[in-house]
Amino acid sequence: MLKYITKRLLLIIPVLIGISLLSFLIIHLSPGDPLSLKYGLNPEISPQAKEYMNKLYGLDKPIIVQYVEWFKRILTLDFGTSFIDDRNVLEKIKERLPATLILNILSLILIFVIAIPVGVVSAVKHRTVFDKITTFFLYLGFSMPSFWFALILIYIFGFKLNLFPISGISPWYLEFLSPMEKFLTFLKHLFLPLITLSLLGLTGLAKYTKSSMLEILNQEYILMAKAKGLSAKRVIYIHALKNALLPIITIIGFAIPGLISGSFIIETVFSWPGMGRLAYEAIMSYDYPTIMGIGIISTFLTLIGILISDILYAIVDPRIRV
Amino acid sequence: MILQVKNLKTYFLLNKENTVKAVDGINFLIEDEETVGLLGESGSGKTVTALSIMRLISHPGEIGKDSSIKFKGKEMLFLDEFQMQNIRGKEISLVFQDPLSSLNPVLSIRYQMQEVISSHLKVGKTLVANILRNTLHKLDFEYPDNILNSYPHKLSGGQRQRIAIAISLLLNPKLLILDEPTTSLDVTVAARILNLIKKLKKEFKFSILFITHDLAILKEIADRIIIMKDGKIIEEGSCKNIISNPTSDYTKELLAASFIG
Amino acid sequence: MVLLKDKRIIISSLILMAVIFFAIFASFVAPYNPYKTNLDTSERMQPPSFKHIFGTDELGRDVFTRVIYGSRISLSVALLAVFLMTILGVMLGALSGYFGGKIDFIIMRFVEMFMCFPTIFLILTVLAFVGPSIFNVMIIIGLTSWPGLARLVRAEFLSVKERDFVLAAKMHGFSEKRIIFKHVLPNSMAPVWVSVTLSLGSAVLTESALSFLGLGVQIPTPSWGNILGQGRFYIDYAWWLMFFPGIFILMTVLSFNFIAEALQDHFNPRTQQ
Repeated sequence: MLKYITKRLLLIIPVLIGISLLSFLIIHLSPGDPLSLKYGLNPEISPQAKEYMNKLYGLDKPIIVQYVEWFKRILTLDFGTSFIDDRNVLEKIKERLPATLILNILSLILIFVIAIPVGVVSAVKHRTVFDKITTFFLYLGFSMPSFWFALILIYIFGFKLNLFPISGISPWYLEFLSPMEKFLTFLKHLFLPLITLSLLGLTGLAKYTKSSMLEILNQEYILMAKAKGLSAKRVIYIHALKNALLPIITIIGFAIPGLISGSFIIETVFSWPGMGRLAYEAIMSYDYPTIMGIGIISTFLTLIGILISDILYAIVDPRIRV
Repeated sequence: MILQVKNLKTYFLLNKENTVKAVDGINFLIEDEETVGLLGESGSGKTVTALSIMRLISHPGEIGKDSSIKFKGKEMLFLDEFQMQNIRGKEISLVFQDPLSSLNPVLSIRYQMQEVISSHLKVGKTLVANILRNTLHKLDFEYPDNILNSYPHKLSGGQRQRIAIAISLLLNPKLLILDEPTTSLDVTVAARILNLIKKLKKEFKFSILFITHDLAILKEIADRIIIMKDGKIIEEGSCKNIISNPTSDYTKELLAASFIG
Repeated sequence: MVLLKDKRIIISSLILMAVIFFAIFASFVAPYNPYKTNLDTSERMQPPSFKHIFGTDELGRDVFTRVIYGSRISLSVALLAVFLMTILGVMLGALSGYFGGKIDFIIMRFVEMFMCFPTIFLILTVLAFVGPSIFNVMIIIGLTSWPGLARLVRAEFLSVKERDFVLAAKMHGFSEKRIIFKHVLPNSMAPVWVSVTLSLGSAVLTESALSFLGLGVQIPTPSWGNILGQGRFYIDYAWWLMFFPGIFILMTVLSFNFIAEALQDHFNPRTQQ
């Protein structure tokens, strides 16, 4: 098993190299040099100042050297300072990361808690009315643009019913509230973005669980379990589910980029102060240090997620364990 | 008489035009402590017969309304699912052909054995452990604890099949249905297992419905033989009679093909 | 063909044909000019009426017209992006699956790389740097979606190339190119069709998300996404700006997904949903 983990860890290295290369290339795709993006063609900046900046960002050196510098800095998480407000990029990201993490982790939990049972029951009640209705709704969720769904929820719950706040994470009067009230208002602000992210996200997992279960239910060991006189509950939840969960565990890691992408749009629509929103602002302002920082951090998170799901899989599947 | 099957019809309604008559009106019985061989080629309906007896037929398959399967004199087709669960694994057991696909890959051997006992009886842990060890002992396992802690993929084909048989015998069933139990095994291993089955039958005194396409095996182990083709019974009789005096042409073909006749 | 009788295929095809019809014959079907603004306050921000069945937007333009013209953009972006994705995905997946070894290793590392990166983020970044335009959107969507297909094709190739008829072909001394194109590839295509159909749907979703955020199709060219994007600011008042384009996106993507599902069942009856 140790060998298995080491092998997975080693495979991460090429991915890291690739990502750093990719991000590096993207910046140099832009028509001007990175600095002119910041200062534009502002004539007030003297050539000497520009030259100084060039040296500071190492933009006068040959590309290979720039790349090596870049790679070194990635490893130490030094992303430089933001072009927008000259603050340290890592600091800015650290500020926004918790909001994104809370939203995404809670969303992930909700998705698992709802999607897996829905998938299991759909598979067991295959072809019944329940299944057909559920499948239809899953398809609806699958095919819906997330930002549209968000807007609909905002319209219904925010404007018409005025139940939930539609943007941000806290009201302007936050400091006047007691801790309990602070917590409650946080929950209220969390509600709409969380629902949007979760409801649409669970469709994929539910479908996947269902097809995984269906395949398992056709296996001979399920028939054998029934032939042993075991109750239907035991057959489904122990014999079938344990096997059906295996492929699901493997995709947890890869689900993270999807979640980040999803929360990206949701954060923008709901003005949720997370990393996704920061990324949007950075992209709109050509703030390339921040963009790169967020990209690398997201990739790190994904790689960690993949590693965790690989390890989980190795633990759960006795054919790989030991 | 432990089992009496009358006019068993199991049809699979695939779609509006297509109905597969897997078992098309068969009648047979099995006496106490008798080994009946069910012989036929693939598609003859032998496995579906076994599954029908166990009521493990599901959509789109259906057992005919005027069929009858009586176990120990009681009509099984009237029983509900709970009652059937009581019978399966306890009064009637089924062993499948391929133990690699019939054992759950992610559950330990101990778990897959112990759950049979705990699903049917309220028994303390020590007693369960004893039953497991004793049964494994009877199946020629020298170190039962190693096997119990292991997983299906770690065992050899012969070991797996012996485990499957052990599972089927845990609760002392009166009828053991074996569906091609030796087909996926090497010849020497198969021979060992057949001898083991004979020994166990003498000790536990159960009846056997032995399903196979191999007449040579039945010669060794069966008291009576039933020959099936296309869902119907072509011929039946005592083992000796079938082999020495076959009446139907199909039987004669089978005999010729297995180099016995 | 059983396929044509499938209810899902029939309904979905009808919907898609309607959308395609709108896209091609937009200039004949649309009642107004999509670009003509009308700043007269009696014409701006009008709710749906007989005159303007989808209402008008903030610049007085008829929303129905813009949605119809938008179908042209959304569909063509999806089609071309998926075309690019298919060529790249099938080619690279086939090479990877058939030859294995170093080629496989390199291509698979690329695939993993793309899969570890949040796609929307990547696309937005690139678009910001190279400038948003319809053409760029098509290319970038195609370039970021080929990895998924490549993995699929590779898996198919890996199993098909072991099959007996391929070994037989090799024994006959056929050239590798012939074996790949005439023997292995045709037998690996089933899941590709399903994947392509699904990708058409997700390409529409991606393009609309990009246009919504302002980095896709640029106004005044209408796309379902950017009509929504503009309408977002008037949501409390002009619900029609948000509702209708969204419905069109939903119906189109839903149709693609249903067709993909029906195809999946057709090719693999065992996993019938």
